[in-house]
Amino acid sequence: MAIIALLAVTIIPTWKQLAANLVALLIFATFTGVFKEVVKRLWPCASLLAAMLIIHSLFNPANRHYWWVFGLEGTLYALRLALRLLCILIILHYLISTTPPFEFVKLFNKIHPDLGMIVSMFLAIMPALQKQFITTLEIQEVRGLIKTNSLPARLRAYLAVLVPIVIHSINHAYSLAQLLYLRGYSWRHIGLAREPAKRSEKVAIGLSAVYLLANVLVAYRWY
Amino acid sequence: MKEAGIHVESLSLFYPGNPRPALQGVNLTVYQGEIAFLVGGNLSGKTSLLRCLAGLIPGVLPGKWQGRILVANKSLNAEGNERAPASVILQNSDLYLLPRVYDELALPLVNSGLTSREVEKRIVLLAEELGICHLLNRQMSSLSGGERQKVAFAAAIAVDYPVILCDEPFEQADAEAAEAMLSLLRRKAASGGTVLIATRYFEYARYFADRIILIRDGAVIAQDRSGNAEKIAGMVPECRISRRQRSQATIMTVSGSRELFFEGVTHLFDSGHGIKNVSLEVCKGEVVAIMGPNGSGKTTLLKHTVGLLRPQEGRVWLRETETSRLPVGLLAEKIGMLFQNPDDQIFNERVDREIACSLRARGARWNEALKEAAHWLAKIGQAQIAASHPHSLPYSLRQIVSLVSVLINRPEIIVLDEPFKSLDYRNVEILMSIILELRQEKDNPIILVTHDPTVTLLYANRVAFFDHGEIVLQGVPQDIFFSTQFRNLSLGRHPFIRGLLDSNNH
Repeated sequence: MAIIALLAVTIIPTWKQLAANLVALLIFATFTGVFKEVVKRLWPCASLLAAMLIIHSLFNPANRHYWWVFGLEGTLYALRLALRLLCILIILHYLISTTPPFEFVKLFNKIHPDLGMIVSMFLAIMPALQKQFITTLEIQEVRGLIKTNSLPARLRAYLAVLVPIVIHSINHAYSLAQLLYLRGYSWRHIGLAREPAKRSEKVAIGLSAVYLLANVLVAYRWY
Repeated sequence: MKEAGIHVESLSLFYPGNPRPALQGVNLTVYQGEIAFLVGGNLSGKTSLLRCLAGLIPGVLPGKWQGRILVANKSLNAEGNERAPASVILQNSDLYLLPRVYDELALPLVNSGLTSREVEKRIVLLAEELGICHLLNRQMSSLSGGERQKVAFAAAIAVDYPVILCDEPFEQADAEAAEAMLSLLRRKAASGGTVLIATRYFEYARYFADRIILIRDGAVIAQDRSGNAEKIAGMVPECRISRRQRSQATIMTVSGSRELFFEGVTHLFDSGHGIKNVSLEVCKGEVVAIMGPNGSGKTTLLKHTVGLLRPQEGRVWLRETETSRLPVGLLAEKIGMLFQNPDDQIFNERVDREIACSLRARGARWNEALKEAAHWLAKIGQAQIAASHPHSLPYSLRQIVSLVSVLINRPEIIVLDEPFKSLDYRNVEILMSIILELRQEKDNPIILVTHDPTVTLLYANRVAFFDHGEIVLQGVPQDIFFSTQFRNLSLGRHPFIRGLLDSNNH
């Protein structure tokens, strides 16, 4: 569904259609109760998008028509970029928040079983590394090493946290290699059962197809 | 005549860059239907021997062995890259390959060539046997330490190999989990399997082994049937506390002033774990041991001492000061905390710098801090390691480096969070003698979290047992260990306690 929606957003040629899509996605977010969360996630991008608009409106070499010092062509170009980026981010947010990690593994497993295994191991290692980071941070804090009063102290604090994590990661990799060997990892791989699509999934795919088709038609009519 | 499940002849092992052999002339035989315990202290060669038997050396790990190894009648090749037909339980049960429990169990089965249906059937059987059916769809990262250990154990024995090799399987297990694992291993042996368990706890071997093999400095120094355990027990003082040492653990009464007081402290995490309404006081000169199963709230309590966690309800008092508004840095100047794993904190390239940086963080100049570090290393008889890279030292010495980096600040209260987890009793004694020497100077109170009742009996004035976030029993260890209430707790079934009760005819 996300792939179809991303495809639709990518082919849209005008800022007006992109703006309509953004409004539609935000309305969808409001109805599904994630509007506040989406806005919270997108907020950090606001300064980046604003900077992009300003730079293009002032310095885009394609600028021919001006309103005061702002070039119209550059502004429209930046607006299209910004709106497209916002739509993509909202769709990706939906994808991540509604898809359990195991579904990603299934997807990569279909591409190649070794790729599935790598993604699985990555997903398994991340919480362990996160836990290690918290433990080391706590220990060095208790030792009085986490200080932010001067640059050398801050650099030393980074090292104090980073070095144990790197060493832990190396040891962890050695241990995982042993574990893979002991579990007999070879050319055979976990065969994930192919489950028939659920009704809700079929509806979602159908809606995405309509969304893509509508965008293609509007874009076609525009020209 | 019984057939050998494991047979080793004249085995020697060399690691690259080390001219000293890790194993030398090892000969041993473990028969089918037997549970053998390989007992030895730190650096005795237990893990190296198991690595050779499992085919990890030279399969994955560097090393060169000579001699003859037969595992389930299969001769291993010293040059080859072939797995031994054995299930192997590694020392670190926190390791896992896949995020979901079911997949973690399925991986070895699929790799052994079973079909999806066979895999599912085997997993359900195994999960029922170990009581982990409810965990199958959980994420590995969401499991508690005890649950993860059970899953690691299940994954290791999922494929029905004739030989099972276990490396320190009880190190991270509470008494209940250890008992469940042992009963399953006993069933495997009864059905003709061969089990070899490497451990540094002689007491486990005394009660659960058919054969005991003692190892030190890479050589087998004795082996006998478990019925003759008493005869050979004295040969490994690093793995066992003798009756004489136990009797020397005298009851100490402390009447010093109150140094630290947890007043009705509650801190519950989203998972429901944590501590509930815990009240505990620690007086001057006192050693308080905190014990309890995995996830019972011991570490949560300790984190409140230095402000890493703050009470949701209740208060923590450091003498007359309520600590909730004191920053971690200030609390940590008064309270020194040693954590489980030295590798979580070591980051310097030299031992003396690693120790000195604790003082440096408190404002000392580098040359003064280094001078003080050298003084401390000399004081504990380890001056020669000052210039060494900490990670080139054995684990036990790394833990000593971590300890000294805590003690160098001369803390008023010492907090130890399972610091002896991977150490034998000889190393525990070295560490505790350093701590107790400091205590003699300043009468510092000590809080010690441990799973090992031996350590509690030898060093603690008082013990508090945690269960489900609450203190369920508290008192003098010598009294508590013989109480009926204690015997109802899972820890009451620990082999050391059984030995204690047996020797006192209880």
